[in-house]
Amino acid sequence: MTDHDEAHEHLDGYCVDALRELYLYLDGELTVERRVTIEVHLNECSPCMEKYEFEEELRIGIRKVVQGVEPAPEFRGQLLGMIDQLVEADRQSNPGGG
Amino acid sequence: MADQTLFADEAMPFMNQIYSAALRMTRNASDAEDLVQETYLRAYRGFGGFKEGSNLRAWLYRILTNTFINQYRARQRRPDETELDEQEDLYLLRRIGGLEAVNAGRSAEDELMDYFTDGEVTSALDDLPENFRLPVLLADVEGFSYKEIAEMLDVPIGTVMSRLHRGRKALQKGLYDYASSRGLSPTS
Ligand SMILES: [Zn+2]
Ligand SMILES: [Zn+2]
Repeated sequence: MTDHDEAHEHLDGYCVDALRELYLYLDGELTVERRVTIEVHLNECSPCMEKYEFEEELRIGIRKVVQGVEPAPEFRGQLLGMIDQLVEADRQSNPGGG
Repeated sequence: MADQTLFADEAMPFMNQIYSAALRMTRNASDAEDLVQETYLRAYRGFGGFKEGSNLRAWLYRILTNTFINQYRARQRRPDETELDEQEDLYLLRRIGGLEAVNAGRSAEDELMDYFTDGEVTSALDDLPENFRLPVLLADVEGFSYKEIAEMLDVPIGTVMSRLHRGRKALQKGLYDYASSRGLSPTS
């Protein structure tokens, strides 16, 4: 890892590019070429790596919280019941079809 | 053309995900159940037009988002199209980034998320105005592309990007404000 100070961070064009494209990278919106260029930079620039990792960890953490919520236990059964009724109604209005 | 008798088998595995997204859209459990039910009803009716082999998850989320926007937004007297103040880039990292490395031996995201309770995370998301909350939810939590989100929300890609830009920073500020009002110490 290269030794970086804050002044270097603002002068280095690669760092400026890497930070500008941080969310495009995390969002999967960069070309393979840009991704690789950024990954090469991250591997030699710990201040940029720290920023990427922080944003990625935050996103993973938020995702876990949001997706960790489950519906009430009886809800799945209610929803399946609704779908069964729809299938049954279709079957009756279209006997032998399908 | 997809067979409707297969609908439950194919669509039910996405139900928990759809519910958790619906909950962050509507912000309460009873409306979220209604929204999921309406989404599955519409999806069942439209399943004949679903192209077998295309992305069922994205298709279900498109119905979810449309249903939410059409039904729940229509109920509000005034659509929640608030503007957000521009916040500093990397808002949270600049404030708590240095504090993180203190606890060793835990995964990095667990360590970071120790600063916030689950309730603070959901509150910070729920505080975002809807026109920012939906893009942030669809990108950061659900992992959809800008193009998919633009189609779901029926806005240009540039609008998705600018709302993500502001929404994410506002979310970070919200998280920081909740945690710092508690003294910003890890919660576990
Ligand atoms: Zn750098
Ligand atoms: Zn550098």
